[in-house]
Amino acid sequence: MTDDPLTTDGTRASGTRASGITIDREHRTLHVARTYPVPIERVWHAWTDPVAIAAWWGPHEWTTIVRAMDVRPGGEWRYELGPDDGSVEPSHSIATYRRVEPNALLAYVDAFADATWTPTGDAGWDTEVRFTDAAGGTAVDIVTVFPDESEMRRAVELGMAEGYAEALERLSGTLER
Amino acid sequence: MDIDRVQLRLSAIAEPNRFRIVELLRQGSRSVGSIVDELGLGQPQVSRHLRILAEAGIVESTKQAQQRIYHLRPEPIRDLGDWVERYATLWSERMDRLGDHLTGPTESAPANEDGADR
Repeated sequence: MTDDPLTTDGTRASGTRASGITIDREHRTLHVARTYPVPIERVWHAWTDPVAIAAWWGPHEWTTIVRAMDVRPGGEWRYELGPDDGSVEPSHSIATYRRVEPNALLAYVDAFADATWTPTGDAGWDTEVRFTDAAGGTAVDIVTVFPDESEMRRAVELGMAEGYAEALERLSGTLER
Repeated sequence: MDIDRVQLRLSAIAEPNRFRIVELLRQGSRSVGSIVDELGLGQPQVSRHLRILAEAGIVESTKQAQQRIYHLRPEPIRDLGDWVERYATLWSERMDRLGDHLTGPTESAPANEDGADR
């Protein structure tokens, strides 16, 4: 797996990964659209079941630990995310659900907390996930509003596999020449 | 805005030997032979890594006398320094993992303990 030939799509035959991503810098929004060849209930379950979501939320070789998940308006989803090699302390996040419409819509604000689950006071990330029936499966549309650059930077550093983050940090030095 | 391309670049440089090659090229252009000598890898392996890096648009080569000289292209590195794109890449990869989760052997065939999918 470490030295596999890079294929553009061969390793990701499942799901549809067509372009699917739009960045609108002016409105600070990111739109992600994907279609999966499974019924809507399965996709909803993957987002709202604490065991299921932990299986795919974090990068490979990172572990997501769900401490609480109360999927209803005002309810919280508390999770830790950290690399398996322990190179970075796990981050703590609290997502507070705003709207919950089973098999249709999930809207939440995701914000960082400290190790005692006290919110750090950052603005948080407004995210809306829509689930709709699509030909042969389920379409998932995510719209997330990103805050300022420092929070973006933090989220990327905490959420990105260490190899990438390190590689990018070192490579960005190239620009300063 | 082409996130798939950014993702391709990230995957290309995330591989440790390719990352070493990119690091080496940051110091200046080099021939394949010089990269082979410096990193102690086999020539076919280095050529393959260079081909992948070239396909991802990270390096390009020019021909000088009998040799091919490789150097970094500045523009893709600049792209990778963009936080918004990196954040988008995170989401793109997360959605790939969701797809793998939804269609993977353990989900689609829970009775199949060994997870073999053939």
